[in-house]
Amino acid sequence: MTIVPLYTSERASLSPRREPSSVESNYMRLVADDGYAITDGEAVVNVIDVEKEDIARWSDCEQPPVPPTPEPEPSADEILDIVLGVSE
Amino acid sequence: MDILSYILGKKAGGGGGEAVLINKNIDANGTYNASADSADGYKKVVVSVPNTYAAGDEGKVVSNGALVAQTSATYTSNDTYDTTKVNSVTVDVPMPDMTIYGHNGANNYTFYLADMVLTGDISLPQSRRTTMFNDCANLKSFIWETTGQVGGSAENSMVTFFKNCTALEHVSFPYTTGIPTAGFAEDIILGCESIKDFTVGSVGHPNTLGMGTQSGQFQLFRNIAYTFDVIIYANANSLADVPAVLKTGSPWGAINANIIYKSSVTGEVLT
Repeated sequence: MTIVPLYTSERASLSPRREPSSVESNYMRLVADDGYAITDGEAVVNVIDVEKEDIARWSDCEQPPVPPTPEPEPSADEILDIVLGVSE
Repeated sequence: MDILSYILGKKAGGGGGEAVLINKNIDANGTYNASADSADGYKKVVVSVPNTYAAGDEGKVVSNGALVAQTSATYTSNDTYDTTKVNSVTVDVPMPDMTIYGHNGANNYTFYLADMVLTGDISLPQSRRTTMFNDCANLKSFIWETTGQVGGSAENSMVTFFKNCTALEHVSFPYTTGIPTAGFAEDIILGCESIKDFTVGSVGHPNTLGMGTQSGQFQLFRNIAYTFDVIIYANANSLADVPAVLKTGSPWGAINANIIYKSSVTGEVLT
């Protein structure tokens, strides 16, 4: 994973971009490497902001397969349209 | 003017001859001389009929041959109206109920509104809400003033709501209670490469439900690399004071996002 420091400024609470007026925050952004994910044993993510003392809780892991997004159930109106042969 | 007959007097010094008499129709004001009509024996005739109206006739119009006063009118339905007797028109046609049909996967329509504000809550089945504004290439700003939650259930689904709205820059849910942690809002701005800011809450309306689950599959901004601002209004006085539920999952999949917590009291950035 890549560890990116996060900065606090008048414009942003947490930003990966350092500006002249910004100061380094107590948070770091953990970004998974390509083809991997990171996990704390529960959540599996590609990126997460954590406090510095919690970084050790996170580690690389295999990227879980993404299940296909299920098609939404047709509404009663849509079913009626299909039955009646009405196209939109 | 009615036919007027002029009786012409004897021609002065005419030596006893018959005076020439004529009939003449006069239908306009003016000065008339008998000699112009080859008549004789009279002086000029001046016709001067006044053509002004009485003070009380000001603003009146002729209707069926009579002067009638104009009135004001209010029209509440679309139609064609006779405005002859109307000097003031108020058009008060109520906006019709708008039925929005979501993108169904077959139509790549272009959305013609650049800035859209939805007021209040709308009730749509999940099948209509999911992918609702897909491929609306002209949509630039979207504000939904819903007071309910965003995502979190099928009836509040916003999965891939703005997918491929390539001009979309600003998304705001100023009055929502937040985006709870049960999914149904994942990939909400997928393909919105122009996005600049995504706002949840406003002054007086803190986000209390969070910004969605941190689980990879159901992240709001899963794998989005665009640089944009995630603005969250919190009932807090400092970054350290921001409720944990609003930090959980940050940055919700957006690798390069700026996270901006703002006070729901003052609107100031929390640091």
